[in-house]
Amino acid sequence: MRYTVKVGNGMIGLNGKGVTVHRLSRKQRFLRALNRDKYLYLMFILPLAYYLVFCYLPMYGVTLAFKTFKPRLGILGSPWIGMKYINMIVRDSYFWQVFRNTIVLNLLNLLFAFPAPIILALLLNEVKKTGYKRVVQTASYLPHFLSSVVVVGMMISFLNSEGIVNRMLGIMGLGGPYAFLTQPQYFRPLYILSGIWQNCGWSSIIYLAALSSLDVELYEAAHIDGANRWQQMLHITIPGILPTIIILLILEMGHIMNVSYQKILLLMNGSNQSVSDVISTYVYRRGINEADFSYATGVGLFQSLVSLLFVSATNMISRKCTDTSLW
Amino acid sequence: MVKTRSTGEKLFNIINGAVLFFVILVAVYPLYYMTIISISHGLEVMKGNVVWVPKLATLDTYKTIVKGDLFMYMKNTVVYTVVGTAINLFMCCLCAYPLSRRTFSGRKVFTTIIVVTMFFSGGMIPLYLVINSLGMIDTIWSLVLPVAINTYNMIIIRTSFQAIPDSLVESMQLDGANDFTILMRLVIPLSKAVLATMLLFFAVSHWNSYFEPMLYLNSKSRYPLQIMLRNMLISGLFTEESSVAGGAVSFSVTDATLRAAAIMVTTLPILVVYPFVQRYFVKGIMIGSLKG
Amino acid sequence: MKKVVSLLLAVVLLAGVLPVMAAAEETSSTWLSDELVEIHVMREENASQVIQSDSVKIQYIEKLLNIKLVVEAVPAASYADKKQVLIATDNMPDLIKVTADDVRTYARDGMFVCLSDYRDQLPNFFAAYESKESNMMLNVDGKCYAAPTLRRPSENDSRFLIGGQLPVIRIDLLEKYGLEVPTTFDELYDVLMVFKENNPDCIPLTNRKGGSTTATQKLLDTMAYSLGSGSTMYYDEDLGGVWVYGPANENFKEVLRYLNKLYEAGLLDPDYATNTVDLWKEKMSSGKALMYFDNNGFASQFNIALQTIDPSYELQVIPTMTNSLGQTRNFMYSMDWTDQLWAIPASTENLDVCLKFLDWCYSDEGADVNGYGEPGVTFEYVDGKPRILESVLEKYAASGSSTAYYDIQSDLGVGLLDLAPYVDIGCQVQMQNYLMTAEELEKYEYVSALLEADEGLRQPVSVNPPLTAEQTERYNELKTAVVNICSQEWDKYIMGVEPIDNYDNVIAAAREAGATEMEQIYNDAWNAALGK
Repeated sequence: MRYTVKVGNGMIGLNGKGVTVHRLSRKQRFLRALNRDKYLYLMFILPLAYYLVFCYLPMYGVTLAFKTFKPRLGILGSPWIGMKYINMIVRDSYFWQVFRNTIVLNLLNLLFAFPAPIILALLLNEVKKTGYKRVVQTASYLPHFLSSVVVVGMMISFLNSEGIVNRMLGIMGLGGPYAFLTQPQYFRPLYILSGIWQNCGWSSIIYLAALSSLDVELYEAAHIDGANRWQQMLHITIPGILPTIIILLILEMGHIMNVSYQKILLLMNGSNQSVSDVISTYVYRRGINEADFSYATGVGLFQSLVSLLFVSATNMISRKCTDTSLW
Repeated sequence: MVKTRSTGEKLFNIINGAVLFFVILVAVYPLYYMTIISISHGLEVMKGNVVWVPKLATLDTYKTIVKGDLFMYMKNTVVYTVVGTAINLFMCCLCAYPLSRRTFSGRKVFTTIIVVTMFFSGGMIPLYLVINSLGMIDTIWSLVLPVAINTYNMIIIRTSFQAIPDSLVESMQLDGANDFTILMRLVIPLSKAVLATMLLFFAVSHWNSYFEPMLYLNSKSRYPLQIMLRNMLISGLFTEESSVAGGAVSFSVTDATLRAAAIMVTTLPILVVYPFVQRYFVKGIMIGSLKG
Repeated sequence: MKKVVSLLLAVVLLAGVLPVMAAAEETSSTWLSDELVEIHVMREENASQVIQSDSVKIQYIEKLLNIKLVVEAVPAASYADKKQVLIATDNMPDLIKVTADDVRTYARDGMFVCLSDYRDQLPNFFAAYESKESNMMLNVDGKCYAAPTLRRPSENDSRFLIGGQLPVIRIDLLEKYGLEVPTTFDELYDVLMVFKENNPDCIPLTNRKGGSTTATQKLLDTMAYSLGSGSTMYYDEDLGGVWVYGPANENFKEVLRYLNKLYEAGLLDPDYATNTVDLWKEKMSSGKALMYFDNNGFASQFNIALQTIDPSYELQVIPTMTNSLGQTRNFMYSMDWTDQLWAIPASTENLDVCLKFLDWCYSDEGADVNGYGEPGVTFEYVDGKPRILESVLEKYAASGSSTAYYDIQSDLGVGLLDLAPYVDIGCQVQMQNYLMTAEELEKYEYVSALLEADEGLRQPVSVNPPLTAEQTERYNELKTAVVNICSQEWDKYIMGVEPIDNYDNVIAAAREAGATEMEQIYNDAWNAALGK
């Protein structure tokens, strides 16, 4: 009988009598791998085509950051202008202010808004009555569907000097009307809290899905061994969904430079502008004045580079410490 | 099985229940508020009288929405959502499976190619040109093909595929199955929870999508529902070029009521679909693992 | 006999054919092209008036001009995005609605057809365009590249119908407390004080957020000019006919001073900096707020709501008041819509027909059709003036819809919110008047007369001076920086956190950041365009 065992760059043949070592050339290795994975490559053809056509083909648009856009000539034909727009961005001291605001908001988000859906999912998981669980689950994601216009409208109604919140604080004797909506120190907490309220339920769905794929038998075994619920959560549940959490965390890092302008624009006013103005609102305001594609592309490029930096760092840390990583 | 509950556990259950009840109140009230506004009389809403119950209930707002081409828009939206979601799931699975196999020789290269696209994009103009040159402007394809793979979701699916024990995969390989069969017979059935979630995410994303249809579609007959609804949602804010001295008609329908009704029309279908997805979130889908 | 019969037959036949021949000639003589041409038009769609693809006007234009109009209506909220992408990718339809800035940005790149090169084909348009000197400011390098939406002179040019951001107050309360209508801002202060003393819970003066501006900016947009300065870059005749950036000028302190006075006395809404449109409507229509400085057209909406609480409640516009600098001035809305222009892209395939169609729109016939629909079917001429048929008005009045005047315009395909480069808003006015009771009509005439007699109301200069590409870039850069500095300061002064005289520091900072240069750029370009 003849067995072959693949070891490293060669094959060791055991043919009953002795040992033959064949070294495979690069080309042979490549072809062998191709053959073994042929169905996988076949599977990947369509997705690859998608990425090439819809992501890589349009990518030449990034060069717009270094050109003056002339629509008649198209992007490829527009004249190069070098670092003019990049300089404009980097030299603008106000840009760094909005850059700082953007990062701070997103880091606060990571600190508070990222764990919230996880906690909600864990709490829901502990509920035994499926009926109640379903009701809470369905209710919790409803705010996701209210557009920011409505959400901010409600916030302003509640937090006005004559809104419910101030009235209740007055009744409880906790002081005069607080200017929640204008004073800068309230802006970030309000933004984060309303974000949690809006998205916690919807984001928890993915964690619930992950929780449901955990093996029931593990829990039963732990229970027999005498573990209480807290220990079960610590040793089974959390490690079980840890890969999901980590991947989502790394992906979130990719959004470190993105704060959508809609909600901010509605909450921003002259008094809290110093903390509420972010990159997207700044670009939006410039966009009202002129159709400046080059500037917007330049800012986008900048955002991409910073996100890449954060994600790479997080990915590397995660690869060293745990099994999971993006790449 | 005898379950003994300590007082600690009972207390936890009560607190947990209370916290979650608070979640329900806080989450449901706004939508309830939208419902009562959408069926209240516009003037009462404008005066601020509608807080806990509807006032002078009327269906005029919904009648205003329904008149005109609502059913045509609704039909368009349904078609785009169904086709789009199907394509999404198909493409994402095809993409995620090879990347989830640790021994796949192209893994590193392909993952890098994909991750790069998550950060760098050419922007609206080149994408529009590509879509235009493919002749997809003003067709359904411009709405479902450029978004066929959502990298974020695809990576989540990949993570879920990775969690399937290698032993199961290998045992199927020994039985002579090729990768397609493994994908269809083993991997997908075991990932039902995640795939159901992704189906929900994709469907909702198509249902709510507004910007791409606005940009790529030119004929009104192809517009989805969201374009009409979103226009209503924002229109109240652009009250500059307002009407000249008005006549004596009652305002049972106003910006605010239309806005609320628009939100209801957007949300209700999701509420209807969600229970079907929810039943996949039942514990213990994992078919018994290999033992010994 | 046979000869006579055949002769008679011939005559009869001829008699039958001649009118048809004449008619055929008549029809084809109004056709703009021998073959049916499709003209695609893109404009934004306001949710109030849906643009229909088979409206009366579109069908009639097909019959009359042999042109199939296809209107691509884009939701107003996203129109700017789509327009930008289509211009940038050179995928525009035959006629596209653009702003003056678009024209200045893209005309030099050759994206739009230079209308001046086709003067002889556009007689009607140029007659209307050149009738107002200020339109010349829209030219780029001395040539016209897009057609602004102009108002056709008619009886509908009353100030009341044009409207403006005017002071609107609860006139019933003035009567109740035996007060005279205030003629100066100081008198207004006293009046509001009386209101407040008698109704401690009320908010005398309130405001709202703008479409894309903050509530504070909107407050200044509506009141700063009346109070002696301006909230942005504007043309000030009283300062000698120059462009001025209001907030970087000495007079702006007067504006802040007055608003601060109101705020400290509790007469200005304490939430003025965060009011949304909904909150504003709520305060006005529930009777909580008693005055606003904004579009006077809203007063009637609020009155309907107020009168369900108490029939005597009434909001009414009052004449312009004198400010602390002795000026009595306020802007009306501009007569024309010079920021809504129609351009023909250079890449169009139907240039000839497009030009003819555009010119037809500026003719009286075109204005009639775009304003009233089909002659004989939806309107008729009475004393040479178009009037919507009573039967049509009755149909929409009977529908009981709260937006009858928009419904009729939508079905007919007419009015400002549809395709109408030379606008006659008569249809909307006639519909609204038809719906009014005799009492309301009387009130309407009274207020109309009030505004006609108001000497303080003036037309604004609504067109910015034409800038070159470098000037535009420089100006925008400066503007972003200057506005950033100023807009974060106003609330501090209005709310009294800082004493008014400290605003001199803000003025100095703004000047240093480039406000002076901004004014210079504008004034140089303005004078250059006027040939000074």
